Amino acid sequence: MKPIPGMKRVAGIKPLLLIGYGNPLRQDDGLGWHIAMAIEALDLPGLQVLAAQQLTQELAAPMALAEAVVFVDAAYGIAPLALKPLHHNPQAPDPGPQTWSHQLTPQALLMLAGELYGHQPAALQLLVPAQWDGHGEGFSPCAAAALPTAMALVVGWAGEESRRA
Amino acid sequence: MADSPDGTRDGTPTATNASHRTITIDPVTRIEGHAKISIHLDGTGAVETARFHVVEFRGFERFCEGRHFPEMAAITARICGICPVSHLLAAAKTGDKLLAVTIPPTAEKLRRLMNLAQIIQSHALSFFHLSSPDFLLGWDSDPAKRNLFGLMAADPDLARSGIRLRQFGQSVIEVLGGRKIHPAWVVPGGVRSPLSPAGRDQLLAGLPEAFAIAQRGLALFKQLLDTKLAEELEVFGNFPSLFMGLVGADGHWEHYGTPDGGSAAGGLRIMASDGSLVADGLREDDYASFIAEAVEPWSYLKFPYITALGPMAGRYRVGPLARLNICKSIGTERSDRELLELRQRGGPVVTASFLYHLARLIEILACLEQMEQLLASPDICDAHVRVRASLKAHEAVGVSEAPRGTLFHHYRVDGDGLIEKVNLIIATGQNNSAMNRTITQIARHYLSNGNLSEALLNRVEAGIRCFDPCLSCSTHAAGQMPLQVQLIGADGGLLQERFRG
Repeated sequence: MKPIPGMKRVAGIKPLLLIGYGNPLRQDDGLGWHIAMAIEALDLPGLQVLAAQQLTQELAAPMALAEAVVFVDAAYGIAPLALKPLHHNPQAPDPGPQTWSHQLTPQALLMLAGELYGHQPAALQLLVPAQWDGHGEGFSPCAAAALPTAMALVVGWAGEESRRA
Repeated sequence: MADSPDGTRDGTPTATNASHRTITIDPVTRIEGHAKISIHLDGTGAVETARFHVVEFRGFERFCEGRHFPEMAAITARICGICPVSHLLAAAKTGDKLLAVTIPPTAEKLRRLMNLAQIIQSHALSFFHLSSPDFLLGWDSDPAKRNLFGLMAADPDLARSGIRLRQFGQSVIEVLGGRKIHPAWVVPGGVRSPLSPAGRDQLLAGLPEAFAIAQRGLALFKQLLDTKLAEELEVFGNFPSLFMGLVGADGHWEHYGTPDGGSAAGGLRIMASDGSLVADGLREDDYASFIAEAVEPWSYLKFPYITALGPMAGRYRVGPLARLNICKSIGTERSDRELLELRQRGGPVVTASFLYHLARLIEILACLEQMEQLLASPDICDAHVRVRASLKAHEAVGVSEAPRGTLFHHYRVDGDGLIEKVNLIIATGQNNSAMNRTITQIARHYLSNGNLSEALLNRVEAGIRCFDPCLSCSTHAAGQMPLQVQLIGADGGLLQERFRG
């Protein structure tokens, strides 16, 4: 990923941002949250990590200070596991009012960052395969098997971006 | 004919013969969790009742069984991503009682700070981002644009202000607890760590901007009330009911709870719409003796009521408006001026649910003023913030005021402190009857000739949003559905269907 032309670094602000989200008490739904917590413990250089239960409006502010952001979330019935570019297309149909609420989409946050704060970071999404969403802790075999690869993908992304910077 | 808790005239489902129709709005947008609304028409096409259906079951109580009680704060805080601190405090206060400890004074102040921050950030989301698009862009504006993005286009400064206020509230939580979400910093016996002088100074530095945003929100909303929202005051859930919440010493506004309850020291107060005190100085430990819960087959959400008065006369409201109604005063200068103005606008006891929005803004101001006072306390950075003890009791009830209203946690534990039974009475549940009455009133006023106008649907949804309900955001993966509006015949046949989004 190339650095964004014209983007000025703010002193003390880490250029990379990871946002992992989900409910850690709803089994696989919490995959993104758990991955964020685990990545944060690694204290990777240049990477700010935010673990959230859901995406809310104020996340747009730190996004606007980042050069690149990766969203990590659980996904039911989606494979394979890979980091994929996330684009906000202003021409795309409006996702409707239900997605502009207490829980936003990554695309909506990108748009907020751009419109309210003048900078939309490059964005990737990592959707981790999930099966269970009942009340409880612990992962399904499917999610547990995907976790090491998901972690490795995020660590690899952060390392590559740091080297480029 | 008596009303049922949900606002129907006889409490029975109405769509049982061919002359009745049902309009369903599913799901309601811009509230926490997932729900739908159905509007039931009688044989003449008039609205008989409207129902707010909660279709997601909260299964956390059972999940907690077998866990060690000190874990309850961290566990229950994860029920909701918007207001985790509310459960955190109620759980810790229940734990205090199981340990039979009085926490250090500084620990109570720090817990209060965190709750004030929680109320600010939650109210900011409700007003600035979820409800203000309705007020600023108009009920009849395109629903695809009557949202945060529409607000962003119409008034980007206001959209940024809402975010700044949320950031301020969350920064307080982060400075205190180390994490924005699920801070396991509040524990039975106090809090884990003191506030540093540097942290105190950081929080103080954020106050002036937060005050300015709160004042701007108040000025904006009062102007709207004076110019174009007069009808909403009358139609959006304006009815007599009881109001319940915590009050502090001498009847002042309270959000955390006083140590021992009792009328002199504060406690739970129930007030009628005419200003008479139905009960005062109630202790949370006795909640089961004065709160009962009715059940309706069409909703997972129960219908609490004051036991002695029954399911109809005992209906009550909680939350920002209730707290401001039952208190003698707030106790700080700027918010007391606003409280006086609220009462001039809505009466000594305000019955218009639409003024929940104004109450939220006044509470934001009150929270900021109380924060300022707490941060100026000489002992706010005191290091003694926790006491340790062993299990002394096997059953306890904790209470606090969540942004949306009074929250009860009731635990029973075994000799090892393992949870045997949990009961949570959440604010949204206590406003259930009021929400149903509100949407019924709105539907009766705006629906005519079975015309499902966008404006009607918007207003019915907005009636629910007055209460800013939280329906357990237990999973974010579900509920990404479009708005669905159905007109269903009594025989179950689909007469009309509309989607939004």
